[in-house]
Amino acid sequence: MTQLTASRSSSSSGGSTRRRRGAAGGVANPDGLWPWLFVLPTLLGLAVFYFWPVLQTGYYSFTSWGVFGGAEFVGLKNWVDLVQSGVVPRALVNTLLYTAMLLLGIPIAIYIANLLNRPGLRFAAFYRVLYFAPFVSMPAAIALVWGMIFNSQYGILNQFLGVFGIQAVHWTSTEWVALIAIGIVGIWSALGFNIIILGAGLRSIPTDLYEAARIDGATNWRQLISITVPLLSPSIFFLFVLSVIHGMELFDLIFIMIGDSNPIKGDTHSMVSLFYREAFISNDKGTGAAIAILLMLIIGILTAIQFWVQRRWISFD
Amino acid sequence: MRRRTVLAGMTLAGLTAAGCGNGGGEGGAGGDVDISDTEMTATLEFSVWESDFDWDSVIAGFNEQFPNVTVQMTKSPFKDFFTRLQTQASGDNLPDVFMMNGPNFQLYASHDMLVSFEPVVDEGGLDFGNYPEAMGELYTYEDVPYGVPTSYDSIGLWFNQELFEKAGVDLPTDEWAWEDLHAAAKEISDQLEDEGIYGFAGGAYNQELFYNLIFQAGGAVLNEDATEAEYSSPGSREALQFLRDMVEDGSSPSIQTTADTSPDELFKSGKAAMVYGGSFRVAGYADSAVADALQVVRLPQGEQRGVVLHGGAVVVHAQSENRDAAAAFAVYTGSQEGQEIIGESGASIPAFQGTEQAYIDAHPEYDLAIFPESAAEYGFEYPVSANTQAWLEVESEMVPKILAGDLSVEEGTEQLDEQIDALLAEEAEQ
Repeated sequence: MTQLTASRSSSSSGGSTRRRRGAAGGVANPDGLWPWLFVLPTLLGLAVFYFWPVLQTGYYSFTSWGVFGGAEFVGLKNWVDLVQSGVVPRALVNTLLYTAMLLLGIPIAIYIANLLNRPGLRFAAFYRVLYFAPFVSMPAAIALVWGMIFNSQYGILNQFLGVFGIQAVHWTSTEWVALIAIGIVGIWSALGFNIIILGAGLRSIPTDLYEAARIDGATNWRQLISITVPLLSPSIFFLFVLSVIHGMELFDLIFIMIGDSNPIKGDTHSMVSLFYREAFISNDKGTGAAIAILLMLIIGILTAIQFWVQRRWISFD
Repeated sequence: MRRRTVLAGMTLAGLTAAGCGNGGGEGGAGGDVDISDTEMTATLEFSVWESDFDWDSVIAGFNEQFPNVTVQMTKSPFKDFFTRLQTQASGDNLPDVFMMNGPNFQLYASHDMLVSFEPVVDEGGLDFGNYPEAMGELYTYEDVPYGVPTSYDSIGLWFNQELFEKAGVDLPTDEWAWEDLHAAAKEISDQLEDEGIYGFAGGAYNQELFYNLIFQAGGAVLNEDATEAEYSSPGSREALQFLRDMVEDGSSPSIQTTADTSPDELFKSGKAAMVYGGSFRVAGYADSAVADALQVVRLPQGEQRGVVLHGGAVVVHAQSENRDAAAAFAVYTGSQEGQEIIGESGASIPAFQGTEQAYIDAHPEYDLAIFPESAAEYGFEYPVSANTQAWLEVESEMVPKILAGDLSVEEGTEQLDEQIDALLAEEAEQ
């Protein structure tokens, strides 16, 4: 065990030296403008399709935008209206809860990726395809199929629970429960992608570490906690950041699974579905822009926090 | 009549000139159209949503009268149609002539984007007396008609005769009142509870369900000039309370159940003995497993009879360079000849009264004649304002809550009125 800890700390310190060196190379740039020229096409695309629209959206959030265009500056009105309408806190809570549920999917993915990566597992490629399939399916189709599974009358889930004498649950039309149902679908559909990323990370862990651990008498669980997870931490971090962004952008599952005659429709908005409602249904593009900017700020802050925290727990090796 | 046209024309011309510098200034923008010249030459862009209508035959029929006008049709799925249209309108790029529906109509009419058909009406080229009154009203904005009705939907009480016999309940008739509906629904729900069968599949649809009840109870959705909501009027409350009572005593499934499985699906799978269903449901019902057991009668009456009418219309872009030809085409789609072609598909009731026969004959096993008959006798206009979608969204969030019992009818309708009044006031400012 001591041996193991030693090798881990040495490898992580090696990683940080490399990082420092990389940073120093970026400052002293001997090549002049040439590198800029090479990134120019990408930069131009980013500027035209990302930065400029973001700035524009920022501006539009201070305008009243007629149904057919024609922005008129109204100062903070949209923002004040948004605060006064009181719909944002609930949408934010829903979105954050969903995001938290998505994060629960990462430990599940680590566990499954670990199973799939066992030496000598038969049909490993088949399982990988199976788990990845949801990721390449259309979210709308996924939401429809899960809607059938969750159906309170005919759904297979309630049929199954009925075997144990559990009363039919209205999965998609009970407050909060619907959010859990949506979270389950979210975890399920992200699982494949998470497993692929983690699987790639797993294969880069040298097998001699496990051999050494086994000689030291470490159990499978101990190996997972002391070798796999720390050495996977860059992949885990990557998935963390992606899951948070993905979770904050929750829309299609709500849009399909929570229909028009649903009594909890108004309580089950996410930030993006709220944006959609304001901008495209109520035709209030100014308020829509304000929600979009707010969401961007929240995602930005959450991501910054994660990058700040990562320095404390990630070993780059 | 004539004077109003001139005035309207002048106002429109003034507005468009002020609002749109690069718009078509030629020939008095937004002014009168003249469809008398059958030799006129033009190429028209015609946008429609995907439907069963045989537009190609309509265009062919039109070309027999106007041989030099080419109509190029663009179809898009209904769910994208209005998003697309709005983008085109924002970019000053609307098609010459296009389909319109009730909830979106006033948005375009109030922004001076549509051609007035008043001159055509004055010259006898178009007579709104040929269509159900409610359809003409739906496409009239500030007393000016802007749309030629294409087809419409009406609502009836569909029922499953087998389930009635099983429960030993008398079949519905055209003379039923609300109380009869409720009593029969309760009886069937009680009798067939073990099989999970409901007497009535309610749900929370507006056009197919509670708008009808609101009008039948003498209530209203919006006031006359669409400046205030009237959900808290006594009639509207009575209608919502009636539906809620049906849910609470088990005559109708819980709103949570119908949120998962629509009333239409429950009915088609034999899990409900009655449903309020639109004329457009026929094809689906005739295809279902219970098709042979089904029949339809008029909606039960409340304080009065009433049925909500909604349907599409063809409108013409005010800035189109081919306004005259576009208007001529629009008028043709609403003429008896055009309407007979549209009716051939049997999918929807053509708006021109007297051309419904093809719709009725498409399914002789059902008594479909009640749809056009009730529409002609007591059709109510589908409620719209300038920005209908905005308050419809509020309605679709609040009404299911009221029916589910999460909010009392009093409190819920007050909140509805308050929120919708605010939206209508915003509309007025724009």
